[in-house]
Amino acid sequence: MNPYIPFKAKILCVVQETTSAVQDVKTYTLAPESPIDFLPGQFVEVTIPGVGEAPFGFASSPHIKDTIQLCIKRTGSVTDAFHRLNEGDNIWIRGPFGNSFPMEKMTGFNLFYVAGGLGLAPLRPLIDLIYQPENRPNYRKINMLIAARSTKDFVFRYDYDKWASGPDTDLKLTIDNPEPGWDGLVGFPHNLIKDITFDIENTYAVLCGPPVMIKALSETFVEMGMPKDRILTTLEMRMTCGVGKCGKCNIGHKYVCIDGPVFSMAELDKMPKEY
Amino acid sequence: MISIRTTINAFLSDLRSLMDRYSILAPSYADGVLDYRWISDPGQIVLNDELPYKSPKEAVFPRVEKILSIAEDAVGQIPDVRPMLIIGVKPCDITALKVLDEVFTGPVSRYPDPYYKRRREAAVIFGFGCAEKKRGCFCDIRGIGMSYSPESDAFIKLDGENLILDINSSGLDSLFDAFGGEKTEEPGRPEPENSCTVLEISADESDIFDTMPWEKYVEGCIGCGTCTYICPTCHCFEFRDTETDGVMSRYRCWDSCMYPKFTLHASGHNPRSSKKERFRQRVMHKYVYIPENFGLTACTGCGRCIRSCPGGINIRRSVEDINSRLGGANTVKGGSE
Repeated sequence: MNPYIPFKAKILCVVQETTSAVQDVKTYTLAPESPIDFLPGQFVEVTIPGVGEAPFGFASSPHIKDTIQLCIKRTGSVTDAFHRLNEGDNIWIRGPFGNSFPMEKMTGFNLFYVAGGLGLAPLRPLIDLIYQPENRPNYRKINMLIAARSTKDFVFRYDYDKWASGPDTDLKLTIDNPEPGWDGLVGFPHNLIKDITFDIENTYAVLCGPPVMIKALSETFVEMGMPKDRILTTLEMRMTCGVGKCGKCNIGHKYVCIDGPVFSMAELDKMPKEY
Repeated sequence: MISIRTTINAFLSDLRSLMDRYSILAPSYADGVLDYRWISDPGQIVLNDELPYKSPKEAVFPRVEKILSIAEDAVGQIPDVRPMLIIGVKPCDITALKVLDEVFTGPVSRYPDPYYKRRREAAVIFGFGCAEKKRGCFCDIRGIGMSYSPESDAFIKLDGENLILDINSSGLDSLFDAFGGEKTEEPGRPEPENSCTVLEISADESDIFDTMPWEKYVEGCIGCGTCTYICPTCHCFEFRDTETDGVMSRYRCWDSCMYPKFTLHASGHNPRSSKKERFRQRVMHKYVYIPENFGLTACTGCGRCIRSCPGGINIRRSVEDINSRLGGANTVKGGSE
């Protein structure tokens, strides 16, 4: 099998996620030419013909077989070109690549998801897959803390009611600064988790967001007594090849593209701080 | 082991007759520089005691290689590669091919690289030894015998006007039958003895990552990337896409960990933002990360990066300094510069 050959995926639907001036995020629903079997936490390499290729985590649950979703923030040349595409246009994808969230190890535990901004996208496959009726009984209480800079910066807001009404779930939203009419929390997640009641002894924390948030949050979770191997995150790196060859994404001898992108804090502790 | 004893002239003449089946890459002079070049006639081949300017890496990992085309919604086929003979490959460069083999197609590489594989499988390696060490070379303390390598498909030895070809690979009879001369069964050549302690780093990455004076090692670096382009084991790459008349082409191009943009994220964040971090990556990739992942050190001691560096950066001295800071057990004895 040639891991460098992409296949076609047609854009079925485009949803504008954010309405803020500071970031422009859209979610694309794609129909791949051939079905793509993936696990929560994995990523694909996306080609915009004539522009280039870049890696993106899956943003939809693997239990949905015919389509996949990618959540794209307009940032560089590939994402800029992506944002100019519309329903009916084609892109090319190859993958899936990378490891995945250790769902078996997490069995029997409570789950505490903390997402900052676009960091919700790579957690969404895990969240949705665990809510499937065949999986939900295998996990205990679910806490979710979803953070955004402002009310205009939330992504997947159409999912929140569905998740909040799921079995044994506590979902909280927070923004950086107060806004009129806002009845959620205000402040950074690492300050807020101290006030949220959860069973530290029996919980997996799954974090994704800006590096500064991950760092502060994981330190707080550790201070609160959570073992480092139960704090999970997913890293972003420049990943040209996706298959452990091109030499860009390594942190020490580990390659984010094949050894990650999902790492526990226990694993990250052993790796150089070069990310 | 089968050995063919022929004359240099007859060998070149036999190579000439093979050129309709094989392309030939061999040391040859152009503008006074000896380098591995695609030759149009075997008379251009130079087998002497000089180390070619670059390694023959480009034969199996071209600096620019088209790996994909998409036209009319369909992925196009990449043309087949022509079988090739790589003649006169020095033992250091043969060892470098072993490193590339491990990274691209080895058992722990996880995703065998099809583009490397098809070129590597199309290549037949004719080794040729060094008589003397060159300025900057340190193959001896890297544990590589300069006079002979059993890792080649065949190894050339010159004896006056005569040429002896020791055949190490089986399954290439149709190629080696093309060579005239006297065929004899010989005992296998012993690997050259090496009395030096081998230069390697046996410490964990966490022991040296933050503790070594990387800034000092890389003081003179101007970020030109020559060391990585000239290195026989460097293999980092980037993709470049073009679109012409609705046909998209993707090229795999050599890249360099010594360039600031190598790891630059679209967000502006850069995990290796200074030359200290980039040189550390270069040294540790070769002496720590590849040994950890693949079980062999990715430096052959060919000395090319040392001889070519305009800033006087010296990977050997850096590694020796790291070892001396780690303590006596890792200090290498022997091996003159």
